[in-house]
Amino acid sequence: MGEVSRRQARRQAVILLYQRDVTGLPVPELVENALHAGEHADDPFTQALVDGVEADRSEIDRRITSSADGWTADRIAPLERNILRVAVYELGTGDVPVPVAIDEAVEMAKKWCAAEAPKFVNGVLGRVARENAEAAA
Amino acid sequence: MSARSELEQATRRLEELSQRIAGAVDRPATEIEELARQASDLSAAVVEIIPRAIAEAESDARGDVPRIGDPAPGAPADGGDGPQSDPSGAFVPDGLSEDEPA
Repeated sequence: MGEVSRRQARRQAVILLYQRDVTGLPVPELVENALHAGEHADDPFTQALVDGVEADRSEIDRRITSSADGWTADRIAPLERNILRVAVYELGTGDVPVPVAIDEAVEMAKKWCAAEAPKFVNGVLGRVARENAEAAA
Repeated sequence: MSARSELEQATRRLEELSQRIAGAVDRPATEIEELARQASDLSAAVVEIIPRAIAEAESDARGDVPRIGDPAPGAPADGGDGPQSDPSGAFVPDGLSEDEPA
């Protein structure tokens, strides 16, 4: 298989987490299934994102809920929720510039979700990024 | 039916089944097993539909939904049998893009 861009890896991570969220199936089974379908599900960056979100999901959801202005993470549509989870995780690692992490999530929301989703995703991630910056100051 | 409609329906049915399973504690084991089997089949279907639904949304976002009479993907524009153009030439960098190898 060819090299996977970070954007493709991020896309695959959101798909795997979305599948996990909706079906409750274990991640290894979903990865196996995706590989069988010819997807790059074993890419190291994809795996790091999925493992990172899975390991820290409660805290990530708490951050989403506290930044979502009246919405709890469990009431956000599953696709938006998992786009947000990946981005909140990436914002927490500090490995990716803040504008890039937010822009990538907003672009996914634009392509995949309802019309109001990009603005919602942008707003939540903006607040999470501000909290991160304040905590680091 | 579009993949997104399929996904919406299958997800709704899966939620209904989960609720039925949760409320079936006092039902015969065979009935619970049948519900669990249906949920398992439906989960497998949802897993398969999700990438298609996302690819469909991406295709719509790009505005490249194939129209009747369009050439098949990868077909030469002039219908000839010469070499394909280099696909890497189509890449356009987009500023904040992370679309480079990880």
